[in-house]
Amino acid sequence: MAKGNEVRLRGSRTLAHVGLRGREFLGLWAGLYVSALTLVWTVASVLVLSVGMVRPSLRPHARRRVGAWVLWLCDRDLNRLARWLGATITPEAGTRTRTAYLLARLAVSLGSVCLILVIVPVPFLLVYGAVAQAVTDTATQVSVDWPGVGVTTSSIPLGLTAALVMSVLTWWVVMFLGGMDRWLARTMLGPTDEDLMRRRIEELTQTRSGIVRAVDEERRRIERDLHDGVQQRVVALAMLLGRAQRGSDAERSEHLVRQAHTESRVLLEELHEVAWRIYPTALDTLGLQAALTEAAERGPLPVRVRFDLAEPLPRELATAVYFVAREAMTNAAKHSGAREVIVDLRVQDARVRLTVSDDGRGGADPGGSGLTGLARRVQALDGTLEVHSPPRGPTTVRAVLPLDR
Amino acid sequence: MRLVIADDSVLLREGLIRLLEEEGHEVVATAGDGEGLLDAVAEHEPDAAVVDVRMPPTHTDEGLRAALRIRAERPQVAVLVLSQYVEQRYAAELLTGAPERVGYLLKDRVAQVGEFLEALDRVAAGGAAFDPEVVRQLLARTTRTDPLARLTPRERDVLENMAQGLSNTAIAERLFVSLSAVEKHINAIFDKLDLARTPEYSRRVLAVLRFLGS
Repeated sequence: MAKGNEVRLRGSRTLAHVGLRGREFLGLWAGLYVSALTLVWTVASVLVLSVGMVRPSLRPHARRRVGAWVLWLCDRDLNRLARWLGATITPEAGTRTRTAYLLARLAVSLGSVCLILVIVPVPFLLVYGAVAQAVTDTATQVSVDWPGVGVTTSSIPLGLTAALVMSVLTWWVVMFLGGMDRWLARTMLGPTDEDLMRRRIEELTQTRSGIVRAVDEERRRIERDLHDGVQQRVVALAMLLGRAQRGSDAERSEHLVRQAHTESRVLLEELHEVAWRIYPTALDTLGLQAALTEAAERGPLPVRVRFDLAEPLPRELATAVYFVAREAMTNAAKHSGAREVIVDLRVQDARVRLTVSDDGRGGADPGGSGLTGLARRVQALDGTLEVHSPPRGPTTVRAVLPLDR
Repeated sequence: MRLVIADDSVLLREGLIRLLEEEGHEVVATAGDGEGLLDAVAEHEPDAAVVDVRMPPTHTDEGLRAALRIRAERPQVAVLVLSQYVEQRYAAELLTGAPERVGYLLKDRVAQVGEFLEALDRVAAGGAAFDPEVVRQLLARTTRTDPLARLTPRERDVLENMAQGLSNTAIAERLFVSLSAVEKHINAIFDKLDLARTPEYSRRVLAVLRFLGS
């Protein structure tokens, strides 16, 4: 079963390959259009620039015009690459480099076209020859007498074989030319390795400060949990006991002490609750699924948890997933007015995908402190967090995290 | 006395109301935020307000800001501020006026019911009440920079109690010494700290705390 799937997959991949080469082939021809425009541009530029030479007051204007044409032409070519050759390139280079690129491309494109013009008709001619011989019955006997090969055969299979060989060769040439087209654009226009590295460093710096902020935010929340929850209860409890001590009425004192006892039990529960909110031990001991299920059970809303993981997630991922899911559940319970929450967790294409959706009234603010904190946390792991919450609902929070970084 | 209580924790508010009513006070209004507190004070003109520092919406210093406004607009209303922990800035801010009818206690102090009620009485009677912990921390901070190093340990004890807002008699009782001994110590403290002598009770708290806050 699995094998059959694989085979089918491979087959369709080959088909896709053929399709891709076909597109590439057409794309190479489409390159001619840009090349022709490049020729026009060269002539126009020379004209415009020479006008600039004659009338110095027009020089900056002429340069600007030529520059604008370069940008436009480059965009056309990048569009072509994206459309036909499957290469999306975000240009980083300046006008000068782009001009160089256009000229280099002109040369490559003319070379490619010549090569194509030479090589493509050959298999057609060979097939045509073989067919023509078959139809007119003019096939001749050919004896192939190479070192180690001595065959006498008809010219028809020989022609067809040669056509096949030439087709494969054409295939390779198209592959090579397409690759060259992409390579040229990428090296000349795209970001250099240094650019990419710089960008990555910027990104890391940003996510790092993001995670620091998220942690601080979390600490602040814990502090508030402790002071506004637990401490208040302790003070209230102590106040009860203080009142009990002050009176001389034994019955009243006893009543107050009993009340204090009840209060102390509530306090203990609250303390457990806060500790659990800070970090659920189940996450370490029983794993993500148990922790999520527990979180789901503690909440006031019915939560369905769908779990599709072949093996346990790395710890930092599990923790991030857990907190995103829990915050989303808490938000749903607090603000959405939902009746049910669905938590869906799966691994697909080497990514962990968590989706928490509710059937509430929507309108969640992705810029709210809870959600931005989570977004920062997810970004620090190179993931993305999306919140989709139109005004009348429903709300979907989706986190995607790469499994291996 | 007639009281207004401002605290966003219902639990604590209810506890305070019970406690104060049992002591024979009358709680005329309660509030859950700064605005509500100002309205309640304007409406009821209470003798004193017990105010939590952190209240909605930002949970930072709403209560304190409301307290400062009460102090500025209605000086006849005594204000006892309750804080989660020692925030020296707030303590100093409360003291920038005259230290009359003002107090700053840690919330934990409310648990020591006797001390809390005593402090409230003191504030309502026109005095000052500062949490021993606040005073201790302020003292600890300033001893490093020092004219206080010249004080004897006993004088430091007296200064600490004085800074909490206690009268000479109360200090004498607390430290088990005679009233005249306390007076002697206080004069020595004023001398050592180069403070002008004034017989007035609140003036010396002002002097001490201004010195601490400097």
